[in-house]
Amino acid sequence: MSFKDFWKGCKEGFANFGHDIANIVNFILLLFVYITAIAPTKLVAKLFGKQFLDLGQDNKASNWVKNKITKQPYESYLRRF
Amino acid sequence: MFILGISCYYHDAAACLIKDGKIIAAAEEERFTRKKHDTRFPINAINFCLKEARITGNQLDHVVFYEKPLIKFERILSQHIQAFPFSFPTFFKTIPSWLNEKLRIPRTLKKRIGYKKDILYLDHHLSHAASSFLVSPFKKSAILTIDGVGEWATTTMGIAEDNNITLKKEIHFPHSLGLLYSTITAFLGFKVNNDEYKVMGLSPYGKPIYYEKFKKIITLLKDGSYKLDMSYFVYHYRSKMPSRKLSKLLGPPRKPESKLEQKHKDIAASLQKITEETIYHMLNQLYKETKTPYLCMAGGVCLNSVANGKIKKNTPFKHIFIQPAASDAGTALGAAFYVYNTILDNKREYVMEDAYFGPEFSNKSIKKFLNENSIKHSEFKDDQDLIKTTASLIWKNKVIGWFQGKMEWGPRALGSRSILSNACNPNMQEILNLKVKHRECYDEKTEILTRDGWKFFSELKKNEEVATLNPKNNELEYQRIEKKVKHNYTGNMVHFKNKRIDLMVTPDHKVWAKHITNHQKGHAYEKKFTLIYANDLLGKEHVQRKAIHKWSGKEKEHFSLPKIRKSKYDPRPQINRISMDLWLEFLGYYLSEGSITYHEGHYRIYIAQSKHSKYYRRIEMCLNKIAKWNYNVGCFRLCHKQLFEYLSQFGKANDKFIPRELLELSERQLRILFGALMCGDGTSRGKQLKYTTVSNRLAENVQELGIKLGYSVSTLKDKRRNPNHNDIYSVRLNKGSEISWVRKSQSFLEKYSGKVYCVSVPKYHLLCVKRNDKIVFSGNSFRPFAPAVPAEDAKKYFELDKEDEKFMLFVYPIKKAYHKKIPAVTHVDGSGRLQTITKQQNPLYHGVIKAFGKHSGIPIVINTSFNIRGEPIVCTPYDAYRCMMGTGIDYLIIGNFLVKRADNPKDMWDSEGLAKD
Repeated sequence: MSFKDFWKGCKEGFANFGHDIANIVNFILLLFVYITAIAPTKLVAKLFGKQFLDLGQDNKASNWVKNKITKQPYESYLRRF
Repeated sequence: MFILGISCYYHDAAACLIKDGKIIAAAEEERFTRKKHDTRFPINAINFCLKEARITGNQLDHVVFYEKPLIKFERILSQHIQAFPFSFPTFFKTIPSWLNEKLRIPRTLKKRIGYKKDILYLDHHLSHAASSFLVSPFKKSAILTIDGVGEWATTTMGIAEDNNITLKKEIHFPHSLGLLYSTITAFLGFKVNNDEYKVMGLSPYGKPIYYEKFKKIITLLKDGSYKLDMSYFVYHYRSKMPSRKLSKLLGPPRKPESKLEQKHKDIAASLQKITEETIYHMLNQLYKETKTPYLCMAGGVCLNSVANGKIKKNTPFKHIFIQPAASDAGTALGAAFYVYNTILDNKREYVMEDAYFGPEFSNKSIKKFLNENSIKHSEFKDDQDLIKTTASLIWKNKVIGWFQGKMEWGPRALGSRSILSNACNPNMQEILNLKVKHRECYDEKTEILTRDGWKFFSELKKNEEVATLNPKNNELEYQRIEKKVKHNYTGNMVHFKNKRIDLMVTPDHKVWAKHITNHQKGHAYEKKFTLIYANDLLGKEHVQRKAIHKWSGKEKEHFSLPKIRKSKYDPRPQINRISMDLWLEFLGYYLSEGSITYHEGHYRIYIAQSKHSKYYRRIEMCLNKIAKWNYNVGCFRLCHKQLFEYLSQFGKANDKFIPRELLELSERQLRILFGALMCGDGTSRGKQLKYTTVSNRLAENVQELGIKLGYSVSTLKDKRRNPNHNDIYSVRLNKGSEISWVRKSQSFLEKYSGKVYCVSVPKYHLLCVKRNDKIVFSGNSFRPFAPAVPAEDAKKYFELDKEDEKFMLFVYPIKKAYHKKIPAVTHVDGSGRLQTITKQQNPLYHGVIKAFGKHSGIPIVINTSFNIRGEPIVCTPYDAYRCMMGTGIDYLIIGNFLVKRADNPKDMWDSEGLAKD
């Protein structure tokens, strides 16, 4: 095995190690966010009967959402929402 | 003014650059990265666009993104909150990519292309709507967009006039027709966002008997909207799509690669029916509201060409426009045009007449590529030469890789990166499927009969001749193989196994079989053998062919026994020529019962046979004509050095074989040899014969002999316990039955991981194969391809309700009179997904089809995408050449050059191993 191959292997190994560490950190952080942000929001929403998705449980006569999308001023297209 | 439209991060990343309202370049990222449906930031597509315009990123006037990322992110978070706590796995999977890249578009653009100005963001469905209307020929039009999901909207409808588009209403996630289609695609064991077209293609084979059940899933409301019963789905909080309730309603979901039953086809047919009904329901409402006969459609669902083809019949709309990249890739184009025409209020001047916006390669660069890689090629004199030669090659049933001009925009090959072939040849579907699309194969244990005897597929040489069955007269014919197919396969194989058949093939393999319809009433079988998908035979009673009717070998009068050096004191004359019939009889006796010995200068040949045997007289008469003999201790004994020398090649009992040249003789002469063999080691009971030998090679030769004499053949191997004893091979030959009945329980699925093989031959495509020494004739699979026809001739062959169909997005019925004349492009329901072409759009392509029409009388060619299975359509000359060498494409017409596959060394370019499922 040449030094080049050895070095390449080391680099790949470290990259994989970094990946695994990132996954673990991500998991911990996202679990924290999930518990501290998503969970309370869900609880509060449940208390007030708020539905975030319309799952169609009510017997509506129409499922259209009227939302007139038409030409807006230029600046409005700069927004990401 | 340069405007760049970008779509990415969901599926089908793409970029489109327009200059002063005209398309400069547009392409999907997958074509450059060679990763199908690549979703990543389309840096290669953007670089290509900038290169075409000869500008850099900071010279762009506007960059527009196809959707509003924060609104989409809001929807994603809403899903997670709604489904708490079940949504954590998807939360963990999706959120990092949002934080890392999807919400950081300005930073990415600055870093990757140096664009520092503001970025515009449009609504997802507005981009869809713009992609269709703003490049359509209509001044005013109704608009319907349907796809999986954008930000919140899954379906929108509205109206557009001049430069303005107004989307008046929308249906919100999770109610989505696109996601319903994808859910059933997943339910049927196919890949979501990739295989929806397969479900559409499957639908004509089924009956919509699940339609009423689908009505429970989707409800059409009076005002043209629809809603889904979300209890049948879990896609709003899981990465899976169907719920358990859906399985209760439709039965268990099909596992990927497992048996495709009639039930699955019926589900596909029912889904297609409800999808069409929902689309027409919305369109009828849209017409009521807009009162315009013009319609523009966009979104992934609008790639459903079967539904598109029936819109005019089922709705009042008379003029329809769908852009070729109707899925998310097209939003890059729509977003760019919306900025130019609507936001900046520039007049609409552009109408999309063709889809050629991708990379183009000059003759000079192609020549350079060919020369640098030492690829043998020839150059056409002019365009007329190119057209004439190509048409003539297509007429000669050659498969042509067609690489001309700018690459197409959208998922269809439209005459720039296409594979062209003869639509009038009924075998062309099969040839294409086998040569190009890498479908249907046999497992590693399967052997095939060749001129040199039985061989495993892996042992086949280039240009080897293999045994095939002519289905017209059931004659065995040898054909030279054109292509050997080999690829890795992991998944289920269909295994047919009984006493006489052992066949293991991929589920999409076609088996030469007949269904058993009603064996109680004497109408046991369908009249004719046909090629039936192995999947469709699973668990069904059917028969497979095991024997032929005719073999036309060559009759030979004499056999020349090689001369030997003879002692001058030996008075006996040498045998020079001997009647072939006599020799075959003698050899038959010898191979079954003979042996040789040498002792003190005596060259002895023995043929054992009891004096009381009924064959004694026959052998005696034969030997009388060969040489002097005597009879001693139950054996005929000949002393003959010349014969001895020749027979010594056959060795001992376990080495014996029939010389290859004798197996090519006529049926009459083979019968003599066979008769003599059977006198020795054969037994018979009625029409059933059994030949027993300890030589594996001889057993294989007898199998071949039996096949050529019209027997159905299978062999049993009797393993001896004592390792010093040879195994015994019993070749069972049956004249009574040329078919084998496969019971319901005798076909099943089996997990397989390894190489699978097949070969292509010029005609018939029925190969003589065996597995575990059980011989059967089996075929290959095919799927119909799309026709390309000059626009001026389209109405003659298709029931077309408009002047042209440029983008292959509509399926139309083929006129009945032509169903049999263009079988390769006629679907099972008599329809075809055609592309019309005019001289203005693509003069070379148009010219070739017209010139082909002069040969065939019908100016229609097969047009299929130029790609290796599992890869995107080819983009560069390198991709095209690699694809040709890795598949069975015969010629590549690349720019002004003709490359013949056979002229170039294949190994270094062989991409068979690259073919993916």
